[in-house]
Amino acid sequence: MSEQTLPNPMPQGNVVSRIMYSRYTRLILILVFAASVLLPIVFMATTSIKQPIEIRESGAILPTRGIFTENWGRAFANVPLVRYLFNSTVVAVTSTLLALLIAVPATYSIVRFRTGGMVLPSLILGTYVMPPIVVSIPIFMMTRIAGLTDTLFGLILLHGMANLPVAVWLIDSYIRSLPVELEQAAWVDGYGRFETLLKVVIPLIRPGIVSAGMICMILSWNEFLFALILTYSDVSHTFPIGISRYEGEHGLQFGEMAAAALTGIIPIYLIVLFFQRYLVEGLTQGGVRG
Amino acid sequence: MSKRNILLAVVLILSVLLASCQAPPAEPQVVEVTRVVEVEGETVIEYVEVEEEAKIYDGQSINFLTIQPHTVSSKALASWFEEETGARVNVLVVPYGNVTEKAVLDVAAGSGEYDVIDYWYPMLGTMVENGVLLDISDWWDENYDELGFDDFLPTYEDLFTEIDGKRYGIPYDGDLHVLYYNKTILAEYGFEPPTTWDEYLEICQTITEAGAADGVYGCGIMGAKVPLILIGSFLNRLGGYGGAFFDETGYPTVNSPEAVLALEALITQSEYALPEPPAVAFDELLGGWLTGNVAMAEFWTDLGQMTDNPEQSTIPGEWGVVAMPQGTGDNANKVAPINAGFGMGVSNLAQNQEVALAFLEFASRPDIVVKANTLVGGLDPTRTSTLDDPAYRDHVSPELADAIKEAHNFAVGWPTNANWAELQEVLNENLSLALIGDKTAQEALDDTQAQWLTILGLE
Amino acid sequence: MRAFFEKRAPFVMVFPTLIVLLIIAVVPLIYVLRLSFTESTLSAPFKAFIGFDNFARAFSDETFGRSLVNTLFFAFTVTLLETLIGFVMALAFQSEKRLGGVVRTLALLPLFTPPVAIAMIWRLIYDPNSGLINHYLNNWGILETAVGFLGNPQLAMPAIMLADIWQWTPFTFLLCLAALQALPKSAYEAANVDGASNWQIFRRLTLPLVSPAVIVIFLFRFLIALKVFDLVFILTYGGPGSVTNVASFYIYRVGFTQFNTGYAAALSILVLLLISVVTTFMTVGRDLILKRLN
Repeated sequence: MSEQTLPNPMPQGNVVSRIMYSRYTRLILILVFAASVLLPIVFMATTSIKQPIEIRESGAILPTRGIFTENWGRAFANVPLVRYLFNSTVVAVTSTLLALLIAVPATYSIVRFRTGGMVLPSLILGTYVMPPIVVSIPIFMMTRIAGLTDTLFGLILLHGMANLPVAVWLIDSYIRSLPVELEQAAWVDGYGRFETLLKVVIPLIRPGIVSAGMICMILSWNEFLFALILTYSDVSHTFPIGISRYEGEHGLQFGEMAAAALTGIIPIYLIVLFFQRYLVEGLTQGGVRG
Repeated sequence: MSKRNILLAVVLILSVLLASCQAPPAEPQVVEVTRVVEVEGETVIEYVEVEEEAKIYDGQSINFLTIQPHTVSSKALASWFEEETGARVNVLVVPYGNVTEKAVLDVAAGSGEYDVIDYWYPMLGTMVENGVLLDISDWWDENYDELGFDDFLPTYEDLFTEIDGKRYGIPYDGDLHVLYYNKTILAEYGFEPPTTWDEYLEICQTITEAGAADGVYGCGIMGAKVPLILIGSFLNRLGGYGGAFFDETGYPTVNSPEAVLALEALITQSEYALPEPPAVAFDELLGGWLTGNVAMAEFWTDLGQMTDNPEQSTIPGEWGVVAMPQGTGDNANKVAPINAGFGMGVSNLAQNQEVALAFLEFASRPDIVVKANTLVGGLDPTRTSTLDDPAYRDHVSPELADAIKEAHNFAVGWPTNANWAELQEVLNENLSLALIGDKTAQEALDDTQAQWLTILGLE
Repeated sequence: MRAFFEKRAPFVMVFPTLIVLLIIAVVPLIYVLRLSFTESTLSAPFKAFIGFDNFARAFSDETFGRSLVNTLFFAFTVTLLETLIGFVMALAFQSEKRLGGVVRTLALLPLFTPPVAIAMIWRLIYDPNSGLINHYLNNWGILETAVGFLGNPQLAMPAIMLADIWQWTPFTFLLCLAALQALPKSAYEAANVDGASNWQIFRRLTLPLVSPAVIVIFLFRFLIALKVFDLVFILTYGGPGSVTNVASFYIYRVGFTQFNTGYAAALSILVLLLISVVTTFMTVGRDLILKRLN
């Protein structure tokens, strides 16, 4: 949204609106939000530099027994974290691209041409309703028959397919909000349906695609159950599996786990930062200017 | 979309695809380096001399499914085995809680990914029922004398390995509960370590009432709703009051008067325990104990070493250990519940049965057992001789070694039958409900008994 | 060739989706349905056909009943709060360019932290003896004795909800923000020219325009919340008592620790039916709300 279209900054109207639209209220809200989001992360960061005994001793945020960096070294020495991060990145990025590749045309077809009537959309929704535990057994069998257990490729396919409903759902409302006249104009200009999708529709719904992609990527990044069931070895273990490996016989290595978790946040964060630029770009260039 | 963007996207996809295709073969299956192991003491460990070129299983490999807490010891075993026989052992690690499901799923789907499996012994019946483990009775009999299986602690020998007269594994990691006490706190209040649960309650109550304001509690009780934890705490008392889950004929007796007494004791004690017992698991209890805020804790035998490690504890050297207290009443009893423990078996679908069995043989050899029991982060003894071994006694402290030895005189195990997986869920649920006061001890155990009878088809 | 595809374009576009649905929904569903009518264990599926026995058992299974109530209560509460907070925050952020951008990026952190690690950090926060909350409340003299959030039957569920809200509000926030930013600007320009007040713009313009998207976000988050598993698994294991036992956790215990897959399948089917009914009601509710707003 560009500057001149912002709501009028002068507070008018009733008290509620005056409070809601005051800049200070907004700032306070944003700061409180940021603080509550950051507190556990900061706590995690300080936990990663606390001595094991201190973690058990005190809930103070900052370390009081001095800084203990060994957690970081041990986190990497005990679990092949880098390998797992690499695996997770490959799976998250590729499976997201796969999901989007299938979801965008499908959603367009469902919304614009009512393909599948009422049945298809609810079937897609229904897919997502099923608790993954329920389908894990048949999925495991199929993966095994296809010879894809313990491979990144298997995990990519599965995450891509599992996140398809998410992508469809999120893109749906963006396509719905497009005025059909634009496409009709394109058809009149001699564009085919695929060309219209590619050259008219997709550029317009780019913010939707990017945010759907981000969500798919996050879901894949954090997915634990299938990753656990379908992988056996370091070749295909993903990061969430790695995080669960900081348990001793009786008790967790909290410091090492915190260090590992922080390490894992960094690469995905970079990817998202990269796409955020596109998100913003998409929002400013795109937009329906009728 | 501009051309630049499309180009970027294509490059990204290609690079990722390439990476995903090429990456796996680029690295060997297991890349972690095992921590090097110190074995000390006067024992001279004699290795079987094997010549460089003539290693018997050169070029062969097996997969060993193990739990995360056993990573260090399982990898050490694997590297010793490779050194001696030439066979490569890929150690595949899963979290503690997922080992049974991984093993069963593997066999159910016909994968045969694992050759050797590390299992939690109460699930032995379930594993066998699901066809996970190979019947190794013949192997067991053949090697009994040579490998000295009669040296396995009698309490573990059958419990960890036998179902309906057949053998499915060897004891791998033993463990039972003993009562630890904080010498400083008990001395401060003029108490001796308790020998009965009544004394335990008195000590706990006195200390908590005086110390809770400063964060010091008389006892810590693990009551988190995890079968291993909650049922463990219950069994510590159940046995002490003379109760048992089943009678000799296998009929459930979980709502016997002794059992009700035991659960009532648990509930009463919980009022004075480190808050809040229904959410106290390993870490919460360790937090209280290792910081010197808990006077008494029921725990596994590895707690002594943890307590002596200054990086983890503020009370090194201040601990003492005694056997579990006894209950009161006619059937009062002294027990040491075997609240954890692992066996090692061979998968029914093992691709390399010969090497898998050789690995079992290797892992049960007395010299190897001592080596594994004296690793830091290693296993607990499964052999009687280990408890007398100077290297081991030195490793854990003679006091603890003696306490373990004594405890084995009256150790009791968990049920291992095929129904136990289901029975323990019911018991766990009801114990937790009783602990928070939703049910009385009598109601909770009556409900458990009723459901157990249904499950066992004994109504 | 091209003409052939062009003519069938709508179908060609959904074709890959149909294949995917076949693989991840239809086949598994048939498998699960079959399982639910049989006596089955993981390694020996379809041992015997037993009709509706598994379902009958489910209806007399108290633990299952409680887990359903817990699941719905959990999912509804957190979804409502998360959507509300996310929406309000999106409104607040919408016109904060610079500061908003920085904070917005930070706000995504909870989403990239693996649930296992999140649960771990919340365990440390809630710990009665060495936890963050108790530490500061005690230091400031607000609390006299330690409060065990996860062990207290009244506090355990709210404690899990708080962790969930922390983890997922950025999700609803991000989606609400995207929805707000996708609104057509022409309408706002006209309203500004007319000199409408902010409240009027919000009530008459923003709310009706954005509510379809917000309701989709609500429904979507609700569906994810119904599957809550990790937090329960690591923070409370369904306890204390059965206070935090949720359906997906219970099904997991039945299917993957007892290996009673037949019964687990029947439970899954029942959950699926229940969720479908709830979702249908919500979809109807959505239409009613939309009608009123316009």
